Amino acid sequence: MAGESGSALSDPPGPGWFARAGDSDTFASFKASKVAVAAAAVTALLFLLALLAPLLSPQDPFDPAQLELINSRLPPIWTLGASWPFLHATADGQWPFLLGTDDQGRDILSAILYGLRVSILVGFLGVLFSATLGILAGLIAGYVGGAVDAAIMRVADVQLTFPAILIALLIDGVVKSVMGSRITTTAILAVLIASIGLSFWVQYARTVRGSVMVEKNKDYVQAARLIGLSSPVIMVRHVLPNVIGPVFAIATINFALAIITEATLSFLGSGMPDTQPSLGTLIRIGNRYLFSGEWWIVAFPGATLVLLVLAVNLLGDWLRDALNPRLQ
Amino acid sequence: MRAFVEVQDLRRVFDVSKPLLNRIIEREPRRYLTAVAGVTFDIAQGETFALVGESGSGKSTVARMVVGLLEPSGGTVTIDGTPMEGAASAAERQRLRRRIQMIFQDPYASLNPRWRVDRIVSEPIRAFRLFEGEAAIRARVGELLAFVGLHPEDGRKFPHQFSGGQRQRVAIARALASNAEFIVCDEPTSALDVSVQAQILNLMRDLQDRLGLTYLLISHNLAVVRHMATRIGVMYLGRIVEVAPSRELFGAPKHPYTRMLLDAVPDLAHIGRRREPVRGEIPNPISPPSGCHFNPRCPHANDRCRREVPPLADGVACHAIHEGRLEPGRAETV
Repeated sequence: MAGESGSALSDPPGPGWFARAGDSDTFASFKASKVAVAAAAVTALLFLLALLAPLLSPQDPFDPAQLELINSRLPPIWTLGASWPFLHATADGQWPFLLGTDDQGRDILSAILYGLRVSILVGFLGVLFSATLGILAGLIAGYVGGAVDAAIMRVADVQLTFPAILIALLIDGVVKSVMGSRITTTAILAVLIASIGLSFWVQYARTVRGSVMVEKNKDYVQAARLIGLSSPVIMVRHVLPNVIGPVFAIATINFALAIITEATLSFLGSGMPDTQPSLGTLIRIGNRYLFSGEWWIVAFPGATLVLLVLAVNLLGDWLRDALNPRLQ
Repeated sequence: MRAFVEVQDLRRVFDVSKPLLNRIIEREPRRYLTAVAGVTFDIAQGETFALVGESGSGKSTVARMVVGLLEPSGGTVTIDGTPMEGAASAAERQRLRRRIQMIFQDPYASLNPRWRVDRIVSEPIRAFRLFEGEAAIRARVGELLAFVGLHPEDGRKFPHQFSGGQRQRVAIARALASNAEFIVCDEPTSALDVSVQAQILNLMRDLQDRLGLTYLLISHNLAVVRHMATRIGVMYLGRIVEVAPSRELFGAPKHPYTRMLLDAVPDLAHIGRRREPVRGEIPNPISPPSGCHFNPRCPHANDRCRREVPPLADGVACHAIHEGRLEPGRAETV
């Protein structure tokens, strides 16, 4: 029995979690992929900009007192013949408008930084909501099976026939007609998050259900049943940690989708209002001035949105491939 | 002496019908698969009772019903005088569960891959509240790991850091964690390397001697059964066809099926002898043969065998033996 006995393999206590994560295959594949590293860097930069918006932005675009109509629709600073590095306060202590201003005299750069915050917040909470909903539905459908499974999955099928935009417009319409003019920014945010959550849960539910149906027949689940643990406890303690992996890849890709959906809704006018603009709202505002030659109002928010969504998407694609054992 | 485990006329039928819509369109009736068709046996305290049989004979289904993972369609399982079905209260049911544990076939699937070994082993201790306080639980886990030949330090590792044999040791430690008295072992070594199988079997015997454990051993490997079992039940298509003490079964098998199985075992004593190969395959359990299930493969079958189900009497369910047409013989003389 010597070769089998435990003392032979009692090597020193393993390295900590962080060190192990650094050694893992996933991290190695991350370092090997230049696209993934670049995408992660851009994503991190944009997150940082959004987080530090109040410190970085020259103007608070949400504060009407700071806006002067005389500054409206100013072009980006370099088109006015200013020389590098552009950044010197004018005589009255006002920062120059680096990327120009919109029709309210709002600094585009500040509006983008604050708009990023709103877009990322809605995307993040939307994904959190849809993932929670989808994971829960998938766990129950897969573990309980039978009629419950059939009911949940048929609801999911019906859900898929409605485009996300339609659901969002429906919820938005109902909430606006109920609340009327009393509607607050928080309520609009909640509507956006709920619409996105309700549109995207199906993918999580299907993925989780499939994995749960495989895991629940494994003997470690039977061993847990044997000691009399209840189904909810087994689902959360044993099954969930073993099916959660693919969810991260879906969540990353859906995060980009959620940001686009929010931008689309705001562009269509049922999202964030002009006073609290997200990137989509800014694009909508800029769209009005496109044909009169004021291109900067739409171009810079649009470019930021493209950059953010592209970076997150590339990151999600890499994660999906890295977590797929068949591609290794 | 009263039997520790009593299994009485245990049955299990699975519904293998197609979905409702398909049945209506294709005009098909419901279809049922009888996996276990009335199995009766008992196990004395400290004994190892083995169930052997081919794939599909229903032995694993019996194991799952005995531990309570599967509801029987009929019949009863009684552990130390307490019936498993309708145990009066949840508390009583939980008390019964503590005394019964199971060791599974595949040690790669029976341990949660995301849990450290100490957490896996301590789960039954926490579930049954056997020890209070983290320090006491940790000490007990270390003791259990040492008991099965692992190092207490191994508790900090994940299952994938162990070999198959070591994982099976962890599974055994988990089964012992609740101070179980009766352990159902479903093919405990068939997923392991041959070199490791004997170590695990010896560990199981060693633990039985030290703790007075009672085993129900499910296996298709006759060598394993011979090494481990005090008594053996041979299953064929959901029924027990022969029950005998190990020595008797291997020395003088009665049922034609048992003889066929034993004759197929390769051994060094009979190298070069022409062997009777196992003939035919186990029939489809959805439409089993009438009468004695073994009649299509049996050289001694007559009309009565095709009509009547032979009762299990004197440890064997065979008309030919009961009628004296066939003498109990040595395995080699079939």
